Amino acid sequence: MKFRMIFSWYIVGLLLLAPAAHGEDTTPQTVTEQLEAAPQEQLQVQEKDEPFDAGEPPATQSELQGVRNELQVLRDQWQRGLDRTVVQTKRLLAISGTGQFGYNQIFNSEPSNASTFQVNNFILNFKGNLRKDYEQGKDIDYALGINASNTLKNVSVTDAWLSYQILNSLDKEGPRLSITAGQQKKYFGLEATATEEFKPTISGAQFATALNLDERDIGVVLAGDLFPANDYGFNYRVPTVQYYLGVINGTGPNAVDINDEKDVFTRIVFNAPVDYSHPLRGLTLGGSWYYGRKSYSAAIKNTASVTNLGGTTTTIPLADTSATQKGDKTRWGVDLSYVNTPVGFTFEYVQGRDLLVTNGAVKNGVTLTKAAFRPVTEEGITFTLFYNFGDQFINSIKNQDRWDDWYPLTYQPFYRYDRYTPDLSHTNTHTDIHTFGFNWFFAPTTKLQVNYNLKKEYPVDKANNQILAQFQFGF
Amino acid sequence: MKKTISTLLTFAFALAALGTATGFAADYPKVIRIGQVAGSFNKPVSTGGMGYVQANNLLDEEFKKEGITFEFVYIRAAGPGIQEALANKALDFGQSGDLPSIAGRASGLRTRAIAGSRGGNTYVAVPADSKIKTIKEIKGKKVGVSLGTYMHAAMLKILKDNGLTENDVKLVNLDNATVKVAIATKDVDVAFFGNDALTLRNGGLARIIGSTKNFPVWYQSTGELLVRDEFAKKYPDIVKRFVKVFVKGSYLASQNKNATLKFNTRNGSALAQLKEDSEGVSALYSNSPKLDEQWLDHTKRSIALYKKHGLIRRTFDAEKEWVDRSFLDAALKELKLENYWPDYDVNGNKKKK
Repeated sequence: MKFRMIFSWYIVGLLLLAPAAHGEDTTPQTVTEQLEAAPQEQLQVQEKDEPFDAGEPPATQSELQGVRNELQVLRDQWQRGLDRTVVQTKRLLAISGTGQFGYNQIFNSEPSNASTFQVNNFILNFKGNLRKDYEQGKDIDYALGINASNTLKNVSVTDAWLSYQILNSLDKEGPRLSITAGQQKKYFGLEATATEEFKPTISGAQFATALNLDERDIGVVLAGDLFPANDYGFNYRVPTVQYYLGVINGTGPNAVDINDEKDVFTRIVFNAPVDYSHPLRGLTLGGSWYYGRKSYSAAIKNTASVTNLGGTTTTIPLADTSATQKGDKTRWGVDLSYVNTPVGFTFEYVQGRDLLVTNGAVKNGVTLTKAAFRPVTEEGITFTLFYNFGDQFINSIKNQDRWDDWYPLTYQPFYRYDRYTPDLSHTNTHTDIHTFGFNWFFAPTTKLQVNYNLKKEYPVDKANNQILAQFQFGF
Repeated sequence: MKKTISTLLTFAFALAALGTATGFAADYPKVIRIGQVAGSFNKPVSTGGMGYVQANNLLDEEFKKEGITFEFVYIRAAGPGIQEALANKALDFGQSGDLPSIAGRASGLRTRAIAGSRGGNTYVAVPADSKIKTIKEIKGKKVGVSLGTYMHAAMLKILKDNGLTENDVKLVNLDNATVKVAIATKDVDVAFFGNDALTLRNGGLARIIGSTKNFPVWYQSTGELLVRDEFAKKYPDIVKRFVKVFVKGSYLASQNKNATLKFNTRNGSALAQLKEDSEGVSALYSNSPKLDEQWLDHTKRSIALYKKHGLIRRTFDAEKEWVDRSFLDAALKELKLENYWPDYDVNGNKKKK
């Protein structure tokens, strides 16, 4: 009796000492504790609803057999279709393409290039996977692309690379590193790195072409990132630092090297490590550097004076010769961009250093003009401001289940300022292009682009403003 | 002069196209978009309370006079995709599980939780011929899960009960459709996913070694109907009427459990799967829109759990900074349904009045 009383007080004491009934600390922690603490009435609700098959006759064996037969027929048809009409590859392959059909009109006095329709590019891409690593994502990927450009007269390889993920690419919180070998884009700044699909303008920035930054090259590139920030609510991962290091021939997209020295480039990008809904999402600051050696070549025009039988003297051309000199080819640039929805901008400053070549002339063995090589510094500046109306750039909206072939219509007006100075020792000699453009995304990977280029050349301006229109379509 | 005319023409073209694209402001929005998580069968239809709203055109009926079009958007990127679209104002309302909704709010997305949901189960499946028998045995194995979803949250709780953490397994982030395939093809050793696991098991492709079914309610998911704060401020009347329609749909879904389960097969789910998943759980419980004690306690504990695991960087006070019951309370009162759904306590039991 005494024992029961002591035990009862013990229980009462324990109950009094028990914490209040709210808050995380008071909630039973294990499954068993929780089940004992609360029997959960909602799990014991008596089913009062009508049975599922109320009023419906049961299926017969012959009906079931009929369903089986229909399934068998469908399976046979599917297999036959696979055997006869479905293209097969040895490995995973995705075929895609980009076409550009355009109209170009230059407002100048020369009738020869007043206006033309043209197919600017037609690119066919084959991309796939040679090894799929489900465990760590250390995949091996490949790409092969063919580009028919210049109104389809030239066909060349645009991408031919093999890529390997060195670090775990499935780990969202860890760093990533990949190595890519073959013909590929050079990672330098924004303009040269962006693929055709994401460029708002029809024509590239002047410096990208003049300094050969936008053309592909052959070599090996390491690309990685560090200190990623993750926002799980949005499945959004942004690395604080991205870096690229490349060793390439430096001779262009489809050429072997012509010297023993390789060109090198490096690029580092700092991204704002913020959550997805933060206003600074999409803010990046980048810096790029490129160094190579190049054999600069100057043509020497040889001529000779000849006196004919009539006594008159004429100048006849002889075989041209050339003079070469090895020199540095350096480029550096900084870029700042803010790519968010609906508004964004990009700014890029690039400087290049080359040898400026002056061709020579020799007449009767006497040098009239000496072939010369003078160091020259080039400069390019671009600034682009754009605004998006529509959901083209929101991934979740683009990837939705629908019955129809729906696509988010998007309208993107933009403005770009582009200045290129070919020789900084003559700063008054430069070209400014103001582009007023409008992109209309009206189907997946397809847009109509209209650009008006207001071109100002200094010190002597010529009338050569330009209007360009282009359908860029992809599949 | 020629240049000036050309420039003006270009701008005129741009502005004309812009005008066509954006239309002009009116008292009411012309289109309201509601984000839904896409099902694993890729059918763009809703189930449960929102399914009844959609199937019966209840929103069109309510807003007929205003001529507002309602678009249901089925997002494949699930809850995180809904948050992304809300952040970009591509959606006005959205429904998702608690992890993406909480993570979205924690990162500064201005949403309001205006109605709740509860009861989603997570299953732990292995390939049919796997030697793995218990949760403890998954240590060191490849585990497939859709990160950032309620199944990810359930995984954290289940692992913890078995003395494991995320670091003890090799996590593979797969969407809901892919995770099913990965189990069937044995590309992952274990997968945490929804009640589709039952269909996979019934087809002989998987074996289930654990689930949150019949577990305490803390293991199951809660979810919420979200509205963008900016939208709610601008159109409080629309939100109020929208919630009223949602409550009507929830009421229809709560009427007859078996009828609702049959109705829910419209998204491609097998009836047997839904029946087994909801065994012993009333339609009243499954379809209650209330933001009651159970929902709030679950949300608060989830916020603490996600912070502890680094899924969110900052916490917030759900009651003060997120929940807005004004629309739901008004709807329940107007429809005289204040007492139709019980309030549940932290353990999922009906609260005594």
